[in-house]
Amino acid sequence: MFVLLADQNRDILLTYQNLFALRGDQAVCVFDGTQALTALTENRFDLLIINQQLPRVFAKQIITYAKEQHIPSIELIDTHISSAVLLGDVPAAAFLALPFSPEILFGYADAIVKKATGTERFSIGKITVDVADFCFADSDIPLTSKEIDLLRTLTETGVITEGKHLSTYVNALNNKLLTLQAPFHIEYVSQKGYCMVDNNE
Amino acid sequence: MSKIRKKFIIYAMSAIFVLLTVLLGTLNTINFTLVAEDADRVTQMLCDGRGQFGGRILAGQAGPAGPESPELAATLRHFTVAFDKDGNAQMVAFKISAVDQQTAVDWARSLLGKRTGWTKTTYRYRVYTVDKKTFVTVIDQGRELLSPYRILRFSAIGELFFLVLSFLVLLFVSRRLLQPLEETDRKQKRFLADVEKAFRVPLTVMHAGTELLEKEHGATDVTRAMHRQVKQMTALVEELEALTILDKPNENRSAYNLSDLCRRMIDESRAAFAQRDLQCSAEIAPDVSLVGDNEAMRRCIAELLENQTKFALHQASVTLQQTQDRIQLTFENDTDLPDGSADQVFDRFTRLKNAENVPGAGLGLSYVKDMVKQQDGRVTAGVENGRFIVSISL
Repeated sequence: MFVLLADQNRDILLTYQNLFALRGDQAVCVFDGTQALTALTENRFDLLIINQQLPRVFAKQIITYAKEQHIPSIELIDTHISSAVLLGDVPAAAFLALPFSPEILFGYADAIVKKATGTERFSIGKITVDVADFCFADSDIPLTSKEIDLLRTLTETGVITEGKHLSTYVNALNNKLLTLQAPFHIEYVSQKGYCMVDNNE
Repeated sequence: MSKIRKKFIIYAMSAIFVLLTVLLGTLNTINFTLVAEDADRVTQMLCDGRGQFGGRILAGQAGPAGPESPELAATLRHFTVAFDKDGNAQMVAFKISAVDQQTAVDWARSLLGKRTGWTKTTYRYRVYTVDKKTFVTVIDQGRELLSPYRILRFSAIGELFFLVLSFLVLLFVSRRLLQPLEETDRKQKRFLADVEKAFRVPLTVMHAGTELLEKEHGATDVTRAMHRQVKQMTALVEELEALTILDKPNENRSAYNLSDLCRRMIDESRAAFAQRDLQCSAEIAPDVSLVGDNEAMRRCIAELLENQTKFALHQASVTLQQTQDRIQLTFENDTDLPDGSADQVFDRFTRLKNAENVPGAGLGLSYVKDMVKQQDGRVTAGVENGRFIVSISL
């Protein structure tokens, strides 16, 4: 895995660069937004890990640029996950709240890179999800890796019952489905779990 | 206006109102009592004279002070009616213009069976029996009561005026008075938020650094200890974050389905229960609705479920019941804590014996208590027969 690490804190960069190296992955470190954009232009990364507070250029701009290059991103945030996920307009594949363990970051990284290197698409109702691009097909509405997993679970089993911050992700998904003018939304059904519900019901 | 200032003004106004009411009420009561006592002395005099003034009054020997004025016989409006055992009436004394004799007799008859008191607001009466005849004496105290009633009216107006004035003064003064307190409160909240944010990056570095050390040099007791401490600090940061969110005023109150919320939260926690091989059972009454802050209740339930996943030995349960006037939400789990050992569990930074090796800062239940209080509810916790029970009543 070829990773771009963008964070203003050199200690985080140093430790994670070494950790990635121990895994056999290569990590390039940058300390501000300008350096990040330069690195993205000059290299073909598999993943961008970027701190929300990166100086010089807004993280959202860098993530958007990376997405246009088909490079998925993990945004590191220092607030509760709900505020980031519900923002909805940052096209990151995942949001990770500080502090986190290396195990969690690598779990996210592996899952996202696996999705991105595939060509998987699946349909849910009349909606198609482009897994590799982390978005709804034929639209620019971004999806996070977690949201893709939830939609896939709904397609396969028809119900979602377990998961941390589930209601947060479901609310964010519903906002996106509304923007997409999807014919369904996700609702908690008593004694079942979260299910797809037709908008006309 | 800040919460502290509002509360200060409400409490101060309530105290002023109570004090003023007690003070003025007492003064007015004494005033009216004195008038009644004077009236009773006069009726007693008439009683002694069988409806007539005699002795010292007629001799002009009474002093100017008190009811025994020499002018009393001339100025007092009164009548006395005597009733024999057959109920026949005889007007004994009639010195009143407000009523005619027949009305006076009927009035006196209506007072038979009583002893003494006020009648028709400004008349004082006395009923007494002498030589098998019952005498009813009624005296007019209208003029004597003018002053007390005036004082009562002015007391009420004065109290109202003083309350308005107090409110205005408090409104003006409280801002300056409470400014240091409000500033301290704001600083404390800002500090909590800053501390919570400031810890995030160092904890991330420490976590990653410890992991790196272990990968490069192998896991040791020291690195394991560092992992534990980082976990503990991370739990503290999460609890501090919850507190800072709680401290933000949230006026969001709407109707929501509490049954669905409970089931949803339990579903979200099943993985955590399964990870520790814990059994979680739920008895949720259907369609229990509540008006309040949905998000606050969600956090409460999440906190209590997390507690169960951390501290239950084998089994945990959640019950939601609704009676006519109350909703009861109970979280129970088995525990090895002794009975009655959970008295201070709602105090901040208090951790019970069974929390020694479990990450956390002891803020969770204190946070739950504050949250439930904001929803106008009550929460209790205790250990009974090997069960740790937290009960929320809404």
